[in-house]
Amino acid sequence: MDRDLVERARDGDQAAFARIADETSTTLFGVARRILRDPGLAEDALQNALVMIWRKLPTLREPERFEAWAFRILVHECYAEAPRARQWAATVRLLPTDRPSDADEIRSIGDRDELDRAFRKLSLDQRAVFVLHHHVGLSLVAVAETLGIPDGTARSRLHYATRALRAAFDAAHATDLVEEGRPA
Amino acid sequence: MTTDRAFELAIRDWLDDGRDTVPRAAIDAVHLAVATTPQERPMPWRRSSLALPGRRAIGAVAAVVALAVLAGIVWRPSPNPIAASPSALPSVMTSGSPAASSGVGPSSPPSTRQSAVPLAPIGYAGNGTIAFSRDDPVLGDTTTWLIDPSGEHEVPLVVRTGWGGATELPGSGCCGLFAPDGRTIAVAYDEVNPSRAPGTLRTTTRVDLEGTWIGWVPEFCGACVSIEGINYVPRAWSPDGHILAVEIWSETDPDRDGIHLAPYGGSTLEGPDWTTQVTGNNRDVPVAFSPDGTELLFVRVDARERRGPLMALTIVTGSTRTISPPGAFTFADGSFGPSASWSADGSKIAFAATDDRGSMDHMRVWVADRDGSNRTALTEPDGFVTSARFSPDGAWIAFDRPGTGGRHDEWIIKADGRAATNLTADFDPGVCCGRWSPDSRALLVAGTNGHDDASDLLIVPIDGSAIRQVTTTPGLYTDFSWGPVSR
Repeated sequence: MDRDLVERARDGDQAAFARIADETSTTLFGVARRILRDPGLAEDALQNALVMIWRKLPTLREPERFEAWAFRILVHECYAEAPRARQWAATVRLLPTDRPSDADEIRSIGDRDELDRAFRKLSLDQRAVFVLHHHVGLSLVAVAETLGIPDGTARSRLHYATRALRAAFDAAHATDLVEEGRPA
Repeated sequence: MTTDRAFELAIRDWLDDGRDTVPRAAIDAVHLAVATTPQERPMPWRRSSLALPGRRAIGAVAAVVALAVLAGIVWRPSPNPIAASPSALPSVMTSGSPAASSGVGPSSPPSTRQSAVPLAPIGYAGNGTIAFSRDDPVLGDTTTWLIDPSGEHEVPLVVRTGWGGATELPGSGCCGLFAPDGRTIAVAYDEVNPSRAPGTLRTTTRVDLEGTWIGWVPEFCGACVSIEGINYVPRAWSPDGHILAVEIWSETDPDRDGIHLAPYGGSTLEGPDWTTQVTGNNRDVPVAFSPDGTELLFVRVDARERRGPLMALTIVTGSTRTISPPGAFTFADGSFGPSASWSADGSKIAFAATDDRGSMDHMRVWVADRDGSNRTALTEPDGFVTSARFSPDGAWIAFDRPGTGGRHDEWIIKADGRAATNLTADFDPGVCCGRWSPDSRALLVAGTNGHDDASDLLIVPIDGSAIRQVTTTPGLYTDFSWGPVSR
C-alpha cells in the first residue's frame, strides 16, 4: 500500500481513504469470506472493518504496516460477525446428480465439501491463522505479528487446523477407496 | 492415507475458488459511512501533567543524559516523590477489573473485554508482585502490567524518565523480567528511541516497580550507528543481578543476531562496551543462568520460528553444547514461557522437548545432568508440553500437559520421576505455562474456558488449597512472572 496514500487518509483525506478501500476490499473480502465461510457475513465484516480502519487510522503509528494492521482489524470484525452464522448456517452436502460427470470433478467437489465441513468446526482463531498463512501467503511469523499473538500460538493453531483438515480429507478418501472395493 | 501432495492440491483448490468480487454497493455504503464518521484522534497515551509531548520529550531527556555522560557524570534520576505512591499517580490507567483499586480515572479507553464468569475466587494471600503482558485486541500494542497476587492494584508499568519522573515514555512494552532482588524489572520497550539511530526498534529499559527509569540497554549510545536496526529484548538475569542476558536481532545483518550480556555493577564483564556479544549469527534466545552464574541456557531458534535445540553456553569461554536430544526442539515463546530451568543446586537441567522428528504431538519433560548427560524422560509423549520448571527450592518440576478434552492441566513431579501430581484435575478451565511463586508454594498460570485469547491469570497452590484468580480482564497473557517484593 502506498505510504503517502495511507498518511493522507490518516490525516483525514476521505478521497485517499476511498482509494485505499477500493484497492484493498477484494483482498480483505477474500480473507473474511474464507474465515467465515459465508459471503453475506464476510461482506458485513468487510464493511465494519473498513469503517473501523477509517476511524482508527490516526492511531496507526507505522504507515508501512498498514496491511498487517488492516488484516488484524478485519479478523476481529470476523470474530464479531461469526456468532450470527451459528443460527442459520447450512450444511451443504454433495448430492448425486443424473448428469454425466467426470469422476475427478466429483471427487474435487467432494473434497471441498469435506474440507468445508471440517473447517467450519475449527475455532475462529485457527481459521484466521490458516487463511492468513495458506491463502494470503504470510509466513507464520508474519501471521503472529499480524494477529498480535506469539509465534508459538500461531504455530499451534495452524498445526491443529491442518491436522483436522487432513483427517477429514483422509477420511473422505478412505471412504472412496472402500466404496471402490480397494483396501483403505 | 492420502499423500501430502494430494492434500496440498486439495487445499489449494478449495481456497482458490475465485469468488472474491465485492458488490459495488457494499463499497459505496462504506464511502457513505466514512463521509459521516469522524476519525478517532489518538488520546494521550499515559498522559502526565508534567509530561512533554512524545518523542520530543525523550529526545530532550536523552540529550541531557548524553551530555551528562559525555561529561563523565554518573547520572541517575532523583527519587521520585510522585511515583512513590501508586495511588497518587495522576495518569495511571486502571483496568476494568473490580480489583483495580486506585480510584483514578482512566487516561485511555477502558478494555471492552470483561470477565463474564469468574474462573475462580479472587484473593490469594501471598507476597510479591506479578508482572505480565496483555495485548490490545485492536491496535496490537502489548503492555506490561503489574498486579498483586491478591488481584489488587493492577496498573500498567508506565516508564517515567527525567528528574522526578516527570516524563512518561509513550509506546508499549512487553516481556517484563524481574531482577533477582525483585526491585528492578527489565522490559522491552516498543518505541523508537530518538537518542539512537533511526531504525532502532525495541529497546530494553530497566525500571523500578513504580516505573521510574533506571537505564537502557545499551546503557549509553555513544556511536548510535552501531545499533541501528537492532532489537533488544531482556530474557534472563544472572543470579546476582549483575548481568542481564538480552536477545538481540538485527533487521538487516544476521551477524549481529545473538545473545548479548549487559553488565551492571560488580561484574567482571563491566567495561567500556555496553554489552558483550557472546553468540552471533544465530537467533539465540536466553532462557536461564545457572545458579552459580557461570552458564546460560538458551534456545537456538530458527529465524522464522520460535523453536530449536536447547543449548548451554559457558560464559567465560564462550563454548556451547546441546542439551536436548538430537533432532528435538524446545520452544522459546512468550506465551509458553521459558522451556527449561536449572535445579536449585545447579546439578540438573529440566526441559520440555519434542521427539527427534520435531513433532509437537510428542513432547516430553526431560531431566539431564548439567553437562547434558544422563538424559531421562519423566513423562510420556503428549501434545504441546512446552515447559519444565524447577521450583526455586528445587523440590519440584512444574509442567502442563493435555487432560480431558484436550485442555491442559498443571502438573508437578520430582526430578527422579516420583510423585507426579495433577494440580488442576478438579478444575474445569484449561491452564498452562505455570511460573513458580518465589516461595515455591504456588504456580502462576494462564487459564481459560475458551481460547487462549480470553485467558486470565490464576494462582494454583501446590498444597491442594483453593485456586485463586488474579486478573479479571480476559486477554492473551504472555511473559508473566512473580517477583519476590511487594509494592
